[in-house]
Amino acid sequence: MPFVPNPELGNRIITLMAALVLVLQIAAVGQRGIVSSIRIFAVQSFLLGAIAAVIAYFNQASHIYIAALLTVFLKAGLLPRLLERLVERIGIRREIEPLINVPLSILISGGLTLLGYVVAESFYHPEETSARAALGHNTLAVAIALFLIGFFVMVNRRKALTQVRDFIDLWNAIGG
Amino acid sequence: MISLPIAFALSLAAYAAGAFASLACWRKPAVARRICCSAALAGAALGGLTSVLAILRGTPVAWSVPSGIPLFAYSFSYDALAGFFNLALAIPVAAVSIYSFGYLKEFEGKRNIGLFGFLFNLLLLSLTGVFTAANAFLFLIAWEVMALAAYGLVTFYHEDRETRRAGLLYIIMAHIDAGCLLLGFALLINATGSAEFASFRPIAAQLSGGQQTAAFVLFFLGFGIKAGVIPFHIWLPAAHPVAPSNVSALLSGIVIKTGIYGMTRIFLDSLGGVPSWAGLLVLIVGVVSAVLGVLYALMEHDLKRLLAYHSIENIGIILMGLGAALIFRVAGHPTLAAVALIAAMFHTLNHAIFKCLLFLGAGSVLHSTGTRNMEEMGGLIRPMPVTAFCFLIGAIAISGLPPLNGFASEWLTYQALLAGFGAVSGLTRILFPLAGSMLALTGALAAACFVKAFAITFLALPRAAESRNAHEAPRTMLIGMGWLTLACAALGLGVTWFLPVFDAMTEQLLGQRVSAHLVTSHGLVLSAGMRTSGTVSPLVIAVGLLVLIVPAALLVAIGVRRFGRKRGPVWDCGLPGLSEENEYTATAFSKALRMIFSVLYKPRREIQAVFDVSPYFPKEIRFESQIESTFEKRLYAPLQEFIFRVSSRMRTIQAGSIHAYLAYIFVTLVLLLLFGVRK
Amino acid sequence: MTEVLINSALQLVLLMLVAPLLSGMIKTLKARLQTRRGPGILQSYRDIFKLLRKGMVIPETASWIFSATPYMVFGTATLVGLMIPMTTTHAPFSLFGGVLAVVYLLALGRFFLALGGLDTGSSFGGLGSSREMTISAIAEPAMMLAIFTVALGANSTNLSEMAKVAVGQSWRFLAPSQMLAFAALFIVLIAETGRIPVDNPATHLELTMIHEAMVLEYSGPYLALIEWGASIKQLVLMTLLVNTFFPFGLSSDWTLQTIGVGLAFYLAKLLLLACMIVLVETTNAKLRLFRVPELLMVAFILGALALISTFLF
Repeated sequence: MPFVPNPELGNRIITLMAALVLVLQIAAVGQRGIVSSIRIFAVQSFLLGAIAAVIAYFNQASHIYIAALLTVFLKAGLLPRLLERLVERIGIRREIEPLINVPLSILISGGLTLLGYVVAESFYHPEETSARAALGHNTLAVAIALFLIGFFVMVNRRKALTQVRDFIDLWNAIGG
Repeated sequence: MISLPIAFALSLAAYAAGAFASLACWRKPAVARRICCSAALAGAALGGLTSVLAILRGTPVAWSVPSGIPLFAYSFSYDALAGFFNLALAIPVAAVSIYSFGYLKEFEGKRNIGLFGFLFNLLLLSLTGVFTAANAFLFLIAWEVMALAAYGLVTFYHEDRETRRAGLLYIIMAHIDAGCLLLGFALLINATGSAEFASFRPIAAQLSGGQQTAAFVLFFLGFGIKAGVIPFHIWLPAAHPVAPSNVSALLSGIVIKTGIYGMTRIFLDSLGGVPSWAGLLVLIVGVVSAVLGVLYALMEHDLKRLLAYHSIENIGIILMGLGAALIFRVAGHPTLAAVALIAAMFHTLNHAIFKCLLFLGAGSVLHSTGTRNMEEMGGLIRPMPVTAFCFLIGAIAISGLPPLNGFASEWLTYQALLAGFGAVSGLTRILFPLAGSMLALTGALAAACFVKAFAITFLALPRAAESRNAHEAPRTMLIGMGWLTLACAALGLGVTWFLPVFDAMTEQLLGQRVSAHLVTSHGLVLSAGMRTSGTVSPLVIAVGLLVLIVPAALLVAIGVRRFGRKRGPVWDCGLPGLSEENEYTATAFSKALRMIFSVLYKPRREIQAVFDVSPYFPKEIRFESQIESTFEKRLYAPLQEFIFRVSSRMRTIQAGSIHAYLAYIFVTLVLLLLFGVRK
Repeated sequence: MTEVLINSALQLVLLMLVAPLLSGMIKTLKARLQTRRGPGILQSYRDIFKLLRKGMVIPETASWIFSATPYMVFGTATLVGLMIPMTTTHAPFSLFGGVLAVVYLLALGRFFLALGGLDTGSSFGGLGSSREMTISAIAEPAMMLAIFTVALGANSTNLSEMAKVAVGQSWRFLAPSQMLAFAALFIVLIAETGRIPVDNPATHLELTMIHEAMVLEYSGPYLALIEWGASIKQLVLMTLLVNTFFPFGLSSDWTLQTIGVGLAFYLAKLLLLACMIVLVETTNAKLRLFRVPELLMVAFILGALALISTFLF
């Protein structure tokens, strides 16, 4: 009999990591420097890969491991390096001043997160009380929040475009 | 044994007699002053006695004298709610009356004390009337007399242009609020066919949704304007500071509380609860008023305007409690609603006391230095030690710091808000802890503001000649302040023994007596009502602080005895001596917050330097700093413009021809007759 | 009654002794991490002892507020220390004041400290007071939100109750709400105790100092009381963090053995938190004053997220 991991623990780890990703996203809103912004993106991507790996482990779905590996390799490794090299070549050290000042944008991000939860709430079916449904509900909320904040960052400053594209892709994958 | 109606009638009579007697003696200022103050003191003492009798009795006493006019009767109802607000009236009025003995002395020979005494006692009479009237029209008459008497007192220094403008603004806003109330009452009277408050109660449940909404909006507007909630606050910081200081104390301490009284009376008593969105609106308006009120207060360096803005803040805190009570009532948690209501009412009383105290302190400073501008004060703790001490106690109390009364009521408000999280379902419940955190922000900003107010006024070096030659206030003024200082301490340390006062009120409005649940451990400890929810004891905190400080003081005393203590100059970076020009000013103190909240303030500043040789050695520097008054500019200016535009269109109707006017009257008469026939 | 007195006395001794040790430890660790030798971990004791045996100079312009301030700072910090569970879940004064009383008593101490700074008329004092009140005001809502998250979970603002509930649910700190609240409170801790990147405890440069500017005119025993009070306040806030989020080693009964185990765990947890602070202090530069609100805004949002996730996650 193979070792069957406790799915409850898995859910816990996944929600924790999802929360971390969200925190990093808000930290990215507060960042001025472009290099640290890229680094935050790298850590975030690494976490996303890790989430995929955790899902693969606890659901024993080995094909997701591939997705996880690809995520970590491409998004946490290759893409940030490329971006950093690009930044170095262009020679910008500082992000252009955002349109809305930082404290206010952080506050707006908080509001957007709340909106994400409100939207996710409407998808919530109380009759589905399984842990899995709760997990889907939470990650959905985080996904929506990330998407909204990403969009907001994109509006607020132009250089963050690439980041946002990737988030949308990835979170669609996780949400499904 | 004196009975309640007799004591009540006597207190009304004392105010009325004081009003007319001081008007009659206007030629003899000293006599008028004594009559004015002793009548007010006697009225307050009797009023206080009445309220104590009412609270002890618990059940309402009502009497009604028919007037012969339909819908109107001289109906009074002295119930627990009326009793509580009369108590909140009596405590500060007693202090203000004693204070005025000394304060009005400088009016002698300069101003008409007879007129002042008339208006002052009339204001107190009408306030008692507002708190006890049980007929809508009697209430409105008392309300209007109160507004007019207050107008007379606000414009008492009428030769000043600023005062006249403030008075005009005040009277306009007072009439808008009276108009809203009239419409609101008309709606209720239309539904019941009677103007008695008692007749509203049974009919309230049968009102349609639209009628309920309309009634709530009208009453909330009417009472909200009087209470000075944001965004209807603009008259308050204009009108309160320009009045004589003893009047400012009454205006900020108790007159704006008539708005709170009205909301409690109509929403909880007459209407028997409002829909939950309405309660939520009250809560949110409370949060906004509290935070914005204190933020605007921080930018003031006019001592009395600063205090006036703090009234807005505290009304906000009261509304948080009241809003929570309204929500809990609809959600079916009467016990929690009672706790929230107690928090709101207790803060109402506490604010009446410490705001009066602070305005009286500011009055003493003004009396002594002749200025309201904090930038010209400083070092007043030396010439005015008693005033400074009383002001410090008031400042600690209003900042909500333990162990004084402000802390006790804010603590109850926190507990009510936290309980709201568990009592309400859905996403709205997130609003309760958020409101709690905004209350924390308000408290911390208020502490910052009162560090500024106290330190710039009373500490360090005097900044102008007036402050250098300051003197302590006369003894009667100090007694007035001392009485309120004692009240601040007593209501803080003895909160657990004071709570039963609220039982009759919560029973009347919500059918709950909760004071016994709020006290544990032999009356020493205040609890939040639930088994594990949290406890606090201001008395033990005070004693504990003393016990811990004594050994520390002994340690220091030993050190000082062995190693000495001497006075020395302040470190001045090696420059030639510290002068008042090096001191931090009120504007400088609030600079950091002005920058942080620049989104709100939109600060503008201008620096001009005059120099001969090099810009590094200026001869003279002028600094000008200004913040934008957002509400005046964004809300009221467009409104004013709109009204002007409409009125200029209407001008064609009002052409100045007497025939046209007569025709209007005629047409109106015909239309009214037709309307009557149709019915 | 006697039990409360004995417990209080024990906890009081512990507070007064551990607080300077902790400050000294942080200083030493920081120096070692920056490859300096640094002072020994007992340096804070020596400082306090030395200051108590010094003469005092009181500014000519100061009033009695200046002299009252050290007592208020010291008194509020120690009183708050009695309301916080340290080695067991039971705090001697938990009945007389919960977490709200803790926050407001610390605010009372700060209120007087700011008045003391302004009382001398020195511009340094005014500058320090202004900045201190500003930063604490914007830190307050974040602190409250994070605390509410824990209090709502425990259904109580009583710190002993909160600790008991935390002990009952081991591994609870893995929940996102707890982690977010911890992060928010950690930022607030940095701001409240005047550490880099908000304030620099080791500087006397007028452009950067906050706490040091307020106490610039204090000397001798008064300064000793203020420094001691400040270190006790730091200990109290750190205890709040470690014991409400990581309740390991806390037991509810009061025997010699549990106290011993509790004390050992407690000191270990404090040491870990001190390491975190030292890491943050060493790897960050001090922020400009007007960047501090951004940091505290992050803390506020973290607190709000913690709250949202308590009832959704």
